[in-house]
Amino acid sequence: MKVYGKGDPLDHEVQAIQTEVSSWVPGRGPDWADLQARVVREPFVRLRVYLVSAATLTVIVAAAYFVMATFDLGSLSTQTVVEHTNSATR
Amino acid sequence: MGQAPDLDPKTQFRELYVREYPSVFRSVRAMVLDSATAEDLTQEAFVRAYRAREKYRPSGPPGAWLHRIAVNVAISYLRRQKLSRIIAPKLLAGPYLGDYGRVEAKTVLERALARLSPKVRAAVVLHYYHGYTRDEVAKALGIPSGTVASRIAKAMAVMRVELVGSEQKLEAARSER
Repeated sequence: MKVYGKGDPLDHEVQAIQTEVSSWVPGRGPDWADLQARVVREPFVRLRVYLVSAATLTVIVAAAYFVMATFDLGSLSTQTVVEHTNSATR
Repeated sequence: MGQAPDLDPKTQFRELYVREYPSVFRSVRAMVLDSATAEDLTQEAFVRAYRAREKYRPSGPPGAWLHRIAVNVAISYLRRQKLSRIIAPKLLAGPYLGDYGRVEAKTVLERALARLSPKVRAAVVLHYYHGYTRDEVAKALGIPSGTVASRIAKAMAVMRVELVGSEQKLEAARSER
């Protein structure tokens, strides 16, 4: 007699999984021409993503620099120098 | 595993593509629970496999190699989806319904599968439908073999609860009539 543990599947459960998964049929099916087209297209898509990302980052950094320099903000603002004078030398 | 002779991805990729497409589609479909998305991801997986075909080493059947690529493609897709929901939930997606139950399950078994995480769903399908051994499933999912065994066992227990619950609801509905 087959003894099942808590996580062991029963035969009808395995059967149900197989029946369910078998019913999943791709609508279009394999398309070799589309695959070849994607293979050719993909490096250019990736290159475009990299170029757009690099350009965006450059614009953000440049804009931040000009805004901070123009409005005297953050580390690009005029630095104040605190002068410590030794009272003993006066 | 299939009884058909193993095809070499380097020289027989087109034949391999046609033969393995439905089985890879089913694994991806189990993970994303949506046919249209699964088809697109399956094609993407084969594009990646085509690019990597020269690096293929026959340590296992090419089907397992393809499944590994497809599982990674599906996981990347699900991560992107999750990220897009976090970044712009209202623009890119509808209301957040939890990690695993987003797609409306059509059948009782699909509902039971939807209660599992995508990786566990893939493990269940790879093991019980495709007949991969636990070691092969472990390689495809990038997890230890022992983890596969415990995850599949837990998955079956979770699915059983869902299936029994559905049967009870059905019985109750019948008895009310």
